[in-house]
Formats: sequence, C-alpha cells, structure tokens
Amino acid sequence: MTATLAGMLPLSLRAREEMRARARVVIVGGGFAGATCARYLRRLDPDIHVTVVDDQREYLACPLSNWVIGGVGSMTRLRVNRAGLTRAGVEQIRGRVEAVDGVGRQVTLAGGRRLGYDRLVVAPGVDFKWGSPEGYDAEAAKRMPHAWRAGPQTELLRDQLRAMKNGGVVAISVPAAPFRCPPGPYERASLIAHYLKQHKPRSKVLILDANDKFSKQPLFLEAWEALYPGLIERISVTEGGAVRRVDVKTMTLHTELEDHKVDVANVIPAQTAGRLALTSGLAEDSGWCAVDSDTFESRRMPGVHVIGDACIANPMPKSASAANSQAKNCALAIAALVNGAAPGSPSLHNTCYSLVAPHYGISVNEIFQVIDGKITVVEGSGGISPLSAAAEFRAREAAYDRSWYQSIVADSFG
Amino acid sequence: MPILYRSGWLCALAMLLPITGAAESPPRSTEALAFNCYTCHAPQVRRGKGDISSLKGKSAATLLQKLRDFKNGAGDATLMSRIARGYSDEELARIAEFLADDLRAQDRKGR
Repeated sequence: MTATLAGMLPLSLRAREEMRARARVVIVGGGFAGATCARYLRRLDPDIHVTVVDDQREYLACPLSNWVIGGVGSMTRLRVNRAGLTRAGVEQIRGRVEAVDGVGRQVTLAGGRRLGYDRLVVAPGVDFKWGSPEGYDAEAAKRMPHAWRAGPQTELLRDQLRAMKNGGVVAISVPAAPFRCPPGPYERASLIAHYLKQHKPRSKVLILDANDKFSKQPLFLEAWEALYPGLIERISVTEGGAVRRVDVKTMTLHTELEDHKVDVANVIPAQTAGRLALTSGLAEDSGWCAVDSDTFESRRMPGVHVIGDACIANPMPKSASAANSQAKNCALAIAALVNGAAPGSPSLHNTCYSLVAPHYGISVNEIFQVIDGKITVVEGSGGISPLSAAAEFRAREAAYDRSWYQSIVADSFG
Repeated sequence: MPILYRSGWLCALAMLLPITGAAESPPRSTEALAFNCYTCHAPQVRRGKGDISSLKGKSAATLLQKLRDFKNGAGDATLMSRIARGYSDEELARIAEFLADDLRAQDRKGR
C-alpha cells in the first residue's frame, strides 16, 4: 500500500533525475538468478549502475550435470562464462561478500572493500547442512559425493560409477524437501540406470528417500517400468528410507530400519540458503529467506531483495527456471522503485525438463500470479507431460530439454 | 455507531469486489508476462530443427493465433498448451503485441 501511494506522488523532474543518477544496485551471486536480474535491470533502465559480485570466475551450471554423471554429456557444456554480463554494461567484481549493512546500505567484501547500494539483491543459491545426515561433511563428500553443486563433485560421482564393478549398488540419498531441483535426484537415478543398463547390467540403483512423494512421480515411475525394469528400487520415508547416518569407512548408509552397505554412495545433504543469507540475518529459522511476493524484498531487511533458491517462494520450486523468472520480476520491481514508481504485479513461471534417457524427456510447468500477497498457481495451467505418450512425444521433449538449456543460459547470462 | 458505520463500508466493499476483482489480483504487467517467454525462446539463440521454436519475425497476429490455438488445445504442443492456459485472452493479446514489437526492435539493434 505504501509503495502504491508513493508511486502516485508527483515527483519533480529534477528529483527523478537525481534518483536515476545515483541508482546503484549490487547483486551478490552470479548464478541464474543474479545474472538474469543484472541483465534485465540494465535492459529496463540503462541509467542504473549494476554490479555483480561472485567469487568464481566462471559459473558451473547444474541443470545438465546429471547428463555428465550418466555419461550422456560433457563437463564443458556446464561451463558458463559471464562475458555477456559485461557486454550488457554490468560491472563484475570477483570477491566474496562477508557482511551486509542494511541500515548503512553497504556490503563489505573479504579484504575490506565496501560497496554502497540503493538496492541489494542477494542470490547466493544453496549451502549444505553438514551433519545432516549424521557423519556427512565436506570430508565425507570426498568419498560419498553429493554432486549437488556442479564441478569436481560431478566428475567424482561419474568416475566412481565408471570404476564400479558390474553387480554393484549405487545409492542416492535424498533429503527432506525443500531442496534445490526437486526432480533432480530422480533424473539422476534414471540416467545412472541408463549407464548401468549398457555397461553394468547386473547393478542396481537404490533411492533412499526422506520424502513420500516426488516431482513428476507418475512419469518417472512409468519410464522406469518401461526402460529400466528391476534396475531402480526406491524406499520412501514411510517405508523407512530416510538416511539418518552415514559411515564413510564401511560405505554404509543407516536408515531407521536397515543398514545399506553400498558400492557408490551419492549423498545429497539437507540444504539451506547460501551462507551469506544466514550470516547477514536474512534467513528465517528454517534456513530460507522470507520475501515479499510482489517485489522479492526481504521481510527482514528493507532495501534487500532475495531471489533464486535462497528465497521462500512456495509453491515455486528451487530451480534455474524459477530463479530466472523471479529475477526478471525482481528487476522490474527494482527498476520501478529506484525511479519512484510503484512496482507492477508479477507474473511468475517455472518449466523443468528431466531426461530419463537420451531420447526420452519429460516436463513439468506452472504459471503463477500473486493474489493477496501469495504466490498462487493459475487455475487450470501447468502440470506434467501426459502419461502413456508416444515415443515421438518423449523424443521431442528430450530435444526441447537441450534447447531449453541453451536458451535459459543465453537469456540469463547473455 | 462507529462499528455500524464500518460494517456498512465493508459491505459496500464486498459488493464491489466480485465486480472489479482488483483488490484480489491486480493485472499482471505486460513486461512481467512477456519476459517469461524469453527463458525458452531467447532471441539470441540460433535454432535448428527439433529445437524450441524461434519467435523472431512473427507478427503480433500470428503469435496471438498460435497462443490461442495452444490455449484451446488446437496447436501441436508438448508444453505450450499447459503454459497458454495460465493467461487470459486479454493477457495473451498483450504478450503477442509486446513480443512482436520487442523482437523487431532487438533485431534492428543487432544489425
């Protein structure tokens, strides 16, 4: 309401010019959310000075990392450079933001450099909750890869699969929701099964799941039945599937009911918003950041917006597509706010493809609007691909998956 | 008396709501609607056979017809029918208009 009233107040031309002249937006995190927000801010208002701070020179994108693990894609496709941001006039600083001063409106980088801002966007993605499951930490991940951040962990899991004997058991431990990429563990199970079927057919994938239901479940089950009969077993949380403790030395995953000694253990730990969100007081006790659904402005710190995996945007999933859409709506809100106008009503969107086999793709989609401050699925929209579809339909969606990736990378990073 | 007065005002508001619907869901801005298309249909991507289709060079009328077909289940869609049902006809018209103009402008800039 306040924003609406402010937007209607007449501002002198000079006051507007001054606001424009000094509008400075700092974005922490150059992943899908941060990069998209930067590009669209520059597009919407070239007078806004946009700075992206990230501690990595290049971005390793997660969406195709399961392809690498399943042997149907290469690491090079995950590498995204941020030259497109520079072309869009975005200033880039390589560094790590250590502190946010929401009152003084400045951030401090490791080494002491300070950056002032009119609006801050925090897009740190996720961090891992070490110790959940018990015994799982950064050291344990060297033996039991999480592979939930693309990079060396992706290659480690792929290489362990390649080295495994025929007849081995590959376990995937899935944490309780919410976590990054809800269909990810099941796409991974599919593509690992695809690899095993060709090279180690006596082996098995065992999904130990801290959830009952999962994303695109009927489609995955239908595909597993058709493509990988007997190759994938899943134990849900109700069946005692949640992994409570891991023992790296004996390669054992302990659930409440059973001890599973396995050959390859892919342990996806519980997650929170990225570290900065926790240390700067942006996160709730849940570990995620509550935001205004219209502007993605933090409920805890005025002038700071949180987008992507780190924010609470239920029922939107934590996906690259959702992050890209949130970032555009956040950019629209910020471009309005720094120019003294009222932000418009958002339109949010999510599309997630999963590959079950090289020519077998499935998708889920939702269209959202904000009603009474809540993100709401538009009635009758979205949903999953049809069940029992023809092979040609699945092949088309597999091709669209590749095309989607190419497009979202271009749209986000330029 | 003040309570009566207030409840009378609320009644008047309640009667107004179903007609305008404005307090519930303000119209989604055209840019917010249309920017979402570029996630999968980024204009700077070169597209081949089997890829997600390019929207470049299409008129607003063509785009709107396509979107309406998808919404009505007439188009040959895998995903677009699920997407198009998320928008009113008025929103689809605004999206088509915006995309046609914006893509033309981007094309000019790119040359």
